[in-house]
Amino acid sequence: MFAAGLALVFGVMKIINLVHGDFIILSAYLTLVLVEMTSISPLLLTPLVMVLMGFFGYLIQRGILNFTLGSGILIPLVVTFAMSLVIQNVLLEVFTADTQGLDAGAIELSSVTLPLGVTVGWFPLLTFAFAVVVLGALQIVIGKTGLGRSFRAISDDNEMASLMGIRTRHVFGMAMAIALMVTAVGGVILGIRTQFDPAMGPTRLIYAFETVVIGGIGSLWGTLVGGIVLGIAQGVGAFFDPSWRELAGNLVFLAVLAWRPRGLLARRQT
Amino acid sequence: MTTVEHRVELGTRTSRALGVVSALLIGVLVLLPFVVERSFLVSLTELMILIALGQLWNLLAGYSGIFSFGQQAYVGIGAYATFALADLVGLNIWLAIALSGVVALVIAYSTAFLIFRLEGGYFAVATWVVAETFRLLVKNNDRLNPGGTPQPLRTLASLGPDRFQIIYWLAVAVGLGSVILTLVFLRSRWGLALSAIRDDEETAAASGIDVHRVKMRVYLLVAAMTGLTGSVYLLNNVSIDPDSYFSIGLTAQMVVVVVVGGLGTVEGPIVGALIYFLLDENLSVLGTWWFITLGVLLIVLLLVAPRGVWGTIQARTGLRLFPTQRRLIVGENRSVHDGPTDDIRSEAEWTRE
Repeated sequence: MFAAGLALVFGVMKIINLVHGDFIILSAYLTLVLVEMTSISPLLLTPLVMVLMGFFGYLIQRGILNFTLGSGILIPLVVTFAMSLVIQNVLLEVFTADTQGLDAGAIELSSVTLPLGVTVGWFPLLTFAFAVVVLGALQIVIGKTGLGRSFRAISDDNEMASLMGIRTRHVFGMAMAIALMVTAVGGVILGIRTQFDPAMGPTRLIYAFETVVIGGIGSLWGTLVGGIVLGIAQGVGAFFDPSWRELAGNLVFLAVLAWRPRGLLARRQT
Repeated sequence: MTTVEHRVELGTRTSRALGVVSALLIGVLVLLPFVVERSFLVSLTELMILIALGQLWNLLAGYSGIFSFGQQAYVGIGAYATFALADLVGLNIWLAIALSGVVALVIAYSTAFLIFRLEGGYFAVATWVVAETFRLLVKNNDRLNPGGTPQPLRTLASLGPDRFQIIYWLAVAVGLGSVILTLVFLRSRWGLALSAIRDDEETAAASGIDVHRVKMRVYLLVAAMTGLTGSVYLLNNVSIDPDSYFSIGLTAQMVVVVVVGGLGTVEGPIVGALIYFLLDENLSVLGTWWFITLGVLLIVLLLVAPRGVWGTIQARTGLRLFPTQRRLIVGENRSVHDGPTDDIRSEAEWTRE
C-alpha cells in the first residue's frame, strides 16, 4: 500500500513536464553524491537536496522553459523531452548504468506494531507522513501566501495577472522551484526504498502522471488518493506475478479513465 | 455591393513545376534498386520508414492538434500483427502485411474512446500509457514473446532472394504513401475542417464542424498507416521484441524529425528525416554523447527557430513545394493573401467567406 507514498509526491505538479521523472532520479543521484561527500544519513540531507533542486528548477525555468511558453503545448513538451534525453545520458555518462541505492541505516528495516496487531515498517510510515506534510505545506503555500495568490491568479488568467503587476516569469520560476523541492523529497525516498539507475525516469513519470489522473486533475488531495489506488493496484498485480506490477497499474488507470474520466476526486464543474 | 472578380487558388508556380519533378523523382526511386548496391538500399529503406513515421505524426500534431506520445503502439502492433499472422497463424506474408494496417485500425478504434477523453498534455501521456500497456501485454504473452528473446520473422524467406528490393519498394510505398495521403487529406474538405479545428476548436465546432468525428478519423487513418509502416519496419529489421518495437524512442524519432523539419508543413518531415538520418548515420558511434548532443541541439533549435528548418525557410521566402493552403486571388493575377507569413488561420477564414 505504501508504494503509493512515492508516486503521490511526484503527482503534485500539474504541468505536463516530460523531464519530471528524470528530475526525481537526478535528486536521488545528487543525494548519493552528498552522502558520499559528507557521510550523513540521506534523510538528514533532504533539506539540502531540496534547496539545491529548488535553485536548479528556478534556473531551468527562467533560462529555458520560460522562452517556450505561449507557443502552444508542443514546444514545451518537446523541450522537456529533449532535457530528459540530456539528463538521462549525462547521468549514464557520469554514474554508468549500474544500479545504486541510498542507505538510511536501521530505520529502513525496523517496524512498529499498531494497536490492531498490524505490523507496519517505520519507513513506509515515514514516507506516508512525508507525503501528508508535503501536501499540507503545498496547500498552505498555494492557499495562504502571496506567492500562492500569484499562482492561482496566473492559472486563472495569465494575461490579466501580468497586467495586474504580477511578475509572471519570476512566478513561473518559483513554481518550478517548489515543484523540484517536492521532487527532491521524492528522490531521496525513492533512493532509500529501491535501487535506481539513470534510465528509470520515464517509468516514474508515468506513475506520477497516472497518480494525477486517477486522483483528479487539479485536486491536491486527489493526488494522495490516486497514489494509494495506484500503489494498491501495483501491489495486487505484483502479488500474482511480478511482471504484472506495471500492467495492473496501467489497467486501473485506464479503468478510471473509462469510468470516471475526471478522476476520483475531481472538482465539480460549473 | 459590388462583386470583385476573384478565384481561389491552391497551387503555386513552384508547385506546378514540382509536379513534373516529383513524377521524375518517384520514377528514380522506384528504379533505384537496379542501380545501387544493397547496403545503400537498406539505408534508403530506413530513411523512407523515417519519413513515413514523421509525416504521419505531422498529420496528427501539425495539422490536427493531436499530440500523441504513444504512436509507437501502432508500430509495435503492426509489426506484431505481421509476425503473428505470418509466422504463428501461417498466412501468406503479403496478406499478413496488408492485415497489419487493419489490426492497427481496429485496436486504435477500440482504445480511442478512452484517450480522447483527455486533452492536451494529459492526452499525450495517456497515449503513452496505452502504448506501455500493449508493450507489457505482449511481453507477458508466451506465444508472442517466447522466452523473452527477440524472435526472427521466419516467413521473411518466402519473399525470395530479392527481398531487399521488395522491402525497399514497400518502404518507398509507405514513405511516399504517407506524403500523398497527407496532401490528399489536407486538400479535401476534411483538411479544411482540420486546420479550423487546430486553430480554434470552439469556433470550428460553432461553424458546424463535427470536431470529434474529424479528429477520430485522422487518428484512425494515421494509426492504420503507422501499423503498415511498423510491418515494413519489421521486414527491414528481421527480428522482433516488445521493448524495441513499443519503445517511446520511436515516437521520439517522429517528434524530432517533425520538429526539426518544421511542424505543420508537408516538406518539413522530409527535410527533418534527411537531417536526422545523416546525423544518426555519422554520430551514433558516439553513444551517450550522441544523445546528449541531440538533446542540446533540439533545445537550441526550438528556442532559436521554433518553426523548424523548413518552417523558417518557408516563413522567409514564402516557398511552398506542396501547397495545401487556399489563396484568394482578387482581380488580375494579384494575390492579396500571398504574403510570406504562414497563417492558415486567416486562409481558412478567407475561404469561409
